[in-house]
Amino acid sequence: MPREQIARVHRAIAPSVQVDIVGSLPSELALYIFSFLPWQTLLSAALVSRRWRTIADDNSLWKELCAQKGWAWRWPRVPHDPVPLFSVAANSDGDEEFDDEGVGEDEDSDGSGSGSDHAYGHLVNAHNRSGSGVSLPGPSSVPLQQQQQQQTVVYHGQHHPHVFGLPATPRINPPSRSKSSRKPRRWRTSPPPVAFKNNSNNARSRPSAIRHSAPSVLPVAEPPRPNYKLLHQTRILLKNRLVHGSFRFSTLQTRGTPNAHTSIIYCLQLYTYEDDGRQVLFTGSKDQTVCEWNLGTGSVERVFEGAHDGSILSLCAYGNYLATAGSDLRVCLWDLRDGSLVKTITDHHDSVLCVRFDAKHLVSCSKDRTVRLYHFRNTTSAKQQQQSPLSEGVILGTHRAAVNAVALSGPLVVSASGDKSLRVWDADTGALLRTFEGHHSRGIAAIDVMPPLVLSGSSDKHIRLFDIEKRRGWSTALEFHDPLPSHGGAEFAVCQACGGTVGDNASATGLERRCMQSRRASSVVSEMHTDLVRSVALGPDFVLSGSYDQSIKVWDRETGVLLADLSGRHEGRVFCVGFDCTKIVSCGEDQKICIWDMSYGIDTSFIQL
Amino acid sequence: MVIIRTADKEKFTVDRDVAECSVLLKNLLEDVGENEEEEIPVQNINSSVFRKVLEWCEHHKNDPRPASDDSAAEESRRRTTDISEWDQKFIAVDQEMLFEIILAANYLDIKPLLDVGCKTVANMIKGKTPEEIRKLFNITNDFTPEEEAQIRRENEWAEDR
Repeated sequence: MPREQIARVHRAIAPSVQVDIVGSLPSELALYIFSFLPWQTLLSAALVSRRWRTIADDNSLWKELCAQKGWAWRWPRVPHDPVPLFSVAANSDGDEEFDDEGVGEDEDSDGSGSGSDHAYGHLVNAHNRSGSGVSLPGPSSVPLQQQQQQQTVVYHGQHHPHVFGLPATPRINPPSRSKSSRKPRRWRTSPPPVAFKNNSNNARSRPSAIRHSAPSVLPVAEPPRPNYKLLHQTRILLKNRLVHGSFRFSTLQTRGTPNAHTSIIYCLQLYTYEDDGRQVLFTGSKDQTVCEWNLGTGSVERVFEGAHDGSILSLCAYGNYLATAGSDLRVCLWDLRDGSLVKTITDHHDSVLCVRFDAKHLVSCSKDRTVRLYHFRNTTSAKQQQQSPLSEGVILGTHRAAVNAVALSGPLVVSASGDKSLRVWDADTGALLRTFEGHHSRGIAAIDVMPPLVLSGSSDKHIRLFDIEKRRGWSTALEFHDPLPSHGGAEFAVCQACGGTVGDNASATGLERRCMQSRRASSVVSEMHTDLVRSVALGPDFVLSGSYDQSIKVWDRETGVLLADLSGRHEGRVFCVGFDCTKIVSCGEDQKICIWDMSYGIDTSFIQL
Repeated sequence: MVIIRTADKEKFTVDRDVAECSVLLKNLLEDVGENEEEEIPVQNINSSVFRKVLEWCEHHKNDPRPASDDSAAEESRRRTTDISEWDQKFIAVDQEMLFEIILAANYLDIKPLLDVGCKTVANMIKGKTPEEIRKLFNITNDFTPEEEAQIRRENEWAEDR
C-alpha cells in the first residue's frame, strides 16, 4: 500500500483503539488514577479538557499531596498581614568591639595551648574587621512604625523560686490605651518599685488583650472548605521564591524603635502561639533582655528582663513557655501567658551557651563542658503546683571542651562541642547512645536536628548534614562529604552540562540540581563560608547557615547545593538564623534583625507557621 | 472448581483459589457454600476481558492477600508507581482492553490488579504536556482560548517567573 494510504487507514483506525480512559471512567476511578500522579502532572492534566480539569482540580487529590508534605490548612483565615517594609537604617552603635560570648573555645588540640580565657572570638574578630568597613550612621529617615502607639509590656523577672507556679510576680505595665484607672506605663529604663496592688489586678490578665495590632478574624467571608490546591500552589511559590532569591527585605530593630535592644543580639526564634496561631519573634541580647516582636507592625510587644544579669545567649520558646540562658550561668523559664518567671536554674558553673526544651525535657549546655538535663513534672495536683515544674537536674554528660549547642527531638538529645565531637543521648534513660568524634576539623558551634539528620556548623567554616543512622551525609568540607544516594527513580539521564549521570526526576531544574550534586558544593570554593559558622537551621527542604563572615546561606537539604547567598545585609558577625516557609530571619553583632520575606504580595494567611 | 458465567454467556471453570483473588467472587462463593454445580454469573464482564483477568489471577493466586486496613502498606503503595515485570507485560494491551481491565478489577474487587491498571494509566500520563495527553487518548480540547489561558496563568503563578 502506498504510504499515504497507510496513513489514512491509520487515522481511521486509531481513534477506535484510543479511549479517553480517564474521562470515561467513573469519577472515583479517575481520581484513583490521578492519586498516583505528581503535582506537576496534575497541573498539566487540568489543561487537557474540562472533564480532566474537574478531576485534576479535585480537592481530595491536593489534600493528599499537602498531607504528604505536612502542609496543613490553617483556620480561621485572617486578613493578610504582611511584614511592612521598613526603612533600612544602618546602625552605627555597634562600633565597640564585642566578644561572642555564645561560643566556647575549642578543645586544646595539637598542643597549641591557648590561654584558658582566650575565647576564639578574638581571633576571628581581628580577621573579620579587616574585611568590613566601618558602618556609617544611617539616614535620618524615621520609620513610620516609630510613630505608632507604644504598647510594650515589660516583665521584670524576679528570683522567687519558692513562689513559682503562683500568679505572676513580675511587674506588668499596662499600655497607655488601657483604662484610666491604671497607673501610667513605665519603661524598663526607669523601673518603678514593684507595685503589688497593681500586680494583683493584672497578674493573670492575658497579654493578648493589648495586642491591638493582632489581625481580627474575618467574619463570614470564608470559603466553605480549605482550598488545598491553592495551599499547594502557594507553598510551591514560596519555595520557588526562596530558590530564585525573590525576597522582600526588611529589618526590625531600626533606629528609634521603642524598647528595642541596645546591644548585640545573640539569639532568636520564630514562635507561633497555639491558641490564636499568631506568630511572633523572640530575640535575646547582650543587653540582658528578651524582646517579643510583633511581625506585623515591627514593634516590640513585650520585654522580658530582670532575671538575667548577663548576656542572653540562647532562648527557646515552646508550648507557652520561654527558656533563656545567659552568661550569668543562669537558665530562666518564663510563662508566656502572663510573663511570669517560673523557674531560675543556677546549676552551671560557666556561661550557659544553649538551652532547648519540649513538653518532657529541658537541656542546657555550657562553657563548663557539661550537658544538663531536667524533666518536667506533671503539675496537675495542687500540691505539686507548689513544687518546681522541673526535676532536679542531672549532668547528662561531659565534653572535653565547651559545649556550644544542644538540640532536642523526642527522646534524643544531641550535643556539640569545641572538642569537635557530636554526642547523642537518650533523654529518658540518660544513656550516651553515640559519639561522633572529629565530626568537624575544628570545634562545632551550632547544631540543629530532625532525626535522623543532624546539621552542624563549625569554626572550620563548614556545615555538615549527617544521617546518624546511615552515618553518611553531605558537607561543604571535602573530607566529610559522603552524600546519601539521591531519591531519584530507576531511570537515569546524562546531564548535558557535565556529562555526568543524574537521576531522573522530572523538571529541567531538577536535572540541573541533581547534576550539581556531582559537582558538589564543597568543590565550589566561592560558595563556602569564609569564617566560623555560628548558627544553622534545618527545614524540610532547605538548610540555613549564618556565619561570622556576615552572610547567611541557603542550601538544598538533599544535595547540599547552594541556593541563595544572603550577604551584604548584616554589618557584623551573624549569630543566629531561623526560618519558616515564608521568611528567613537573622540577627547578630550589628544589632540588626533582618527579615527576608518570600510571602510579599500574596495571601499566606491560610498557611500554618 | 467453580463455574463462572460472563455477560456474553461464556462459562469458565476456575480453580477456587484463583477465583478467590476477587473479593466479590470470594464472598459469593461463601454464600454458595459447597454446591459446586451452581454457576456464578458476572454480568458486567465480557469473556475476552474475563479471560485476561483470570490470566492475572492464575499468576497471582499465591500472593499474600493485602490487608484491607494496612495503612502503612497503603502509604508505600501511593509513593510508587512501580509495576512488576510480569505485570508490565501482562498489561501491555490496547487502551480499550486497559480500560476494561480497570473496570473489571474494580467490579470484581481485585485491588492489586486495579492498582496495576491505574498505575499504568498514570505512567502513560506522567510528565506529558496537555497536548501530548490529548493526542495519546484522542481527546478533544473543549476549552475556549480564554479558559485555557486562564488555567495556564493559574498553573504558572507558582513558578515565580
